[in-house]
Amino acid sequence: MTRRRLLQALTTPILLLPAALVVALMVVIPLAVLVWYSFAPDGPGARLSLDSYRRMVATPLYGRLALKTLWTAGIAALITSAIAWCPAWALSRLPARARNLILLVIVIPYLTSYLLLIYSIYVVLGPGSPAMALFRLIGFAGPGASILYTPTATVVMLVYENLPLMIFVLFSGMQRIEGTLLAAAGSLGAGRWSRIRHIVFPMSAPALVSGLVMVFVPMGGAFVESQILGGPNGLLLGNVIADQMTRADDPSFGSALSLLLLLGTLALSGLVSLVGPVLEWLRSDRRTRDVRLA
Amino acid sequence: MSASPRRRLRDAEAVSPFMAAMLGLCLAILFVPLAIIIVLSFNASPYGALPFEGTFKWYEALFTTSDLLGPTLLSLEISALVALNAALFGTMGAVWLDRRASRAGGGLFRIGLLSAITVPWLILGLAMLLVMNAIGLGRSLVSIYLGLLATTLPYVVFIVVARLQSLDQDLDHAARSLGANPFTSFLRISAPLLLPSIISGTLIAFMVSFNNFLIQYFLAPFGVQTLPLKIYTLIRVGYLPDLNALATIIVLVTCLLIAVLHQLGLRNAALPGGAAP
Repeated sequence: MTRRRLLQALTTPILLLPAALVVALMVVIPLAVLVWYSFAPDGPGARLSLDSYRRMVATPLYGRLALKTLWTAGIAALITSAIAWCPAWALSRLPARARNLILLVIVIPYLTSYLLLIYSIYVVLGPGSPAMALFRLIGFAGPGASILYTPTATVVMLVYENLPLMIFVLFSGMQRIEGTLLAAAGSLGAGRWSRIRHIVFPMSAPALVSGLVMVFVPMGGAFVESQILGGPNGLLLGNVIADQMTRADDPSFGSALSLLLLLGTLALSGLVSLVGPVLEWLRSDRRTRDVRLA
Repeated sequence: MSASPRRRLRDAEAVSPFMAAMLGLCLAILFVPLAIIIVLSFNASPYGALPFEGTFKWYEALFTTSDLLGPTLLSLEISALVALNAALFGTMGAVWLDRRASRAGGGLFRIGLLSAITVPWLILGLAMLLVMNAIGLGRSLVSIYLGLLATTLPYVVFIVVARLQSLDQDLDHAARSLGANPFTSFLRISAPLLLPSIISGTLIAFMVSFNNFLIQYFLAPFGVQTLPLKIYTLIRVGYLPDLNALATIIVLVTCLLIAVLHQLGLRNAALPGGAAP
């Protein structure tokens, strides 16, 4: 018994050690260092100060850039969910064989290098391509123009690369909705549309919220998309952050901007996740009020 | 009105034509750009101009004159090393998490792993570079290796842990009560049952590491170009016929790997002691 315990005491740290060391060195310590550097504008050894944050607040450009980034990511996340919703619902009602096949097919672009995806969108959005003709037809772009090198192209790319993830998340939520519920509603006279509106939509709302959060956070950190496709007016906070590290060589300011971006996306995600519970609370409140009145 | 309950259920479950059309449209959106690249890789014009004229010369160029081959091989080497190590360390970590971890320790480990895949890689890559500069590694192959390892470990750990949790621990206990020591029992009982999930984790780690542009962007030594970095510098030049050929090959390989993952998933579900994921 003691020998076994000794063996366990010896093997336990060995099992954990490599992974824990890598995670500590490359994830935990870097994030802590990021916070520290943001307070150390004169190098890590020097006195701590708020100078980087002061500079960030004093220049309205950065605030505007942060808002533009959150706005772009938010719009892209909403468009992604709007495009993904109906396909996810259709998938969740298909027979297992067809469903699994389509899910597998959808994984392909998700696991393909996103630089290749950016390149393919770059080719598709080129001025002479048929896709642009279609965009002009539905009024997405002016006559003779290409949306390449505009902020719209960034949004198109963000939607394109996050569509598979959104479909997976929505699908896994919708899959749990029992067909018997729909059948019951149907036999009580609910039509197709009202079943979607009163059963499917509320029941898949949590999946919608987690899907929005899951695509929104990486979208906020986008930088290659806007750099290659976004053109001169399409720069986002991510571009400025990358420049601080590579060209401007100001790690302290880059760290402060990174924290602004991280906290901004997290705060907005938190707000979105709160919408559901708050609505629920308001509704239950009204119900109890009604009961009391009765 | 006289429809049977079963008929009603079937009607309620049926996919409406509108929803099916939206699904088709969505698939088209996802695959038209890739299909265009694949078609253009067989087009003779170096600018992607029509009319279409079939050729294999871009594939030939890819393996002879193209400067894409070197970066591709480098990316393959790095990713293979990272994926194999992630598989080893990740499986060890998963076993620790499932069998040995205290609640607090396990929670901390999970939070660390989750941070590695939820914090945008732009920010994480930048933070890694700060630390690498501070400890003197700077931009180097070692830094790339460590950075990619950190971003791939979570996938392996979470996939293997999910499988471990669905394993019947009684099998292990039975082996132990019959006299096997923990190592033997792990190697002879748990490891074979875990193998499909370990392979799945390795393949996903390989793909994530191969495609992780941002970590490579911040940690690659100047002058060393992995494939994503090479594409990044070339893409501003414009249309690249040999990149079309390479993209076609990469998409096909991805399809192959996904098919393998799917097969593993199926066998995974059919194994004794395990529930379908």
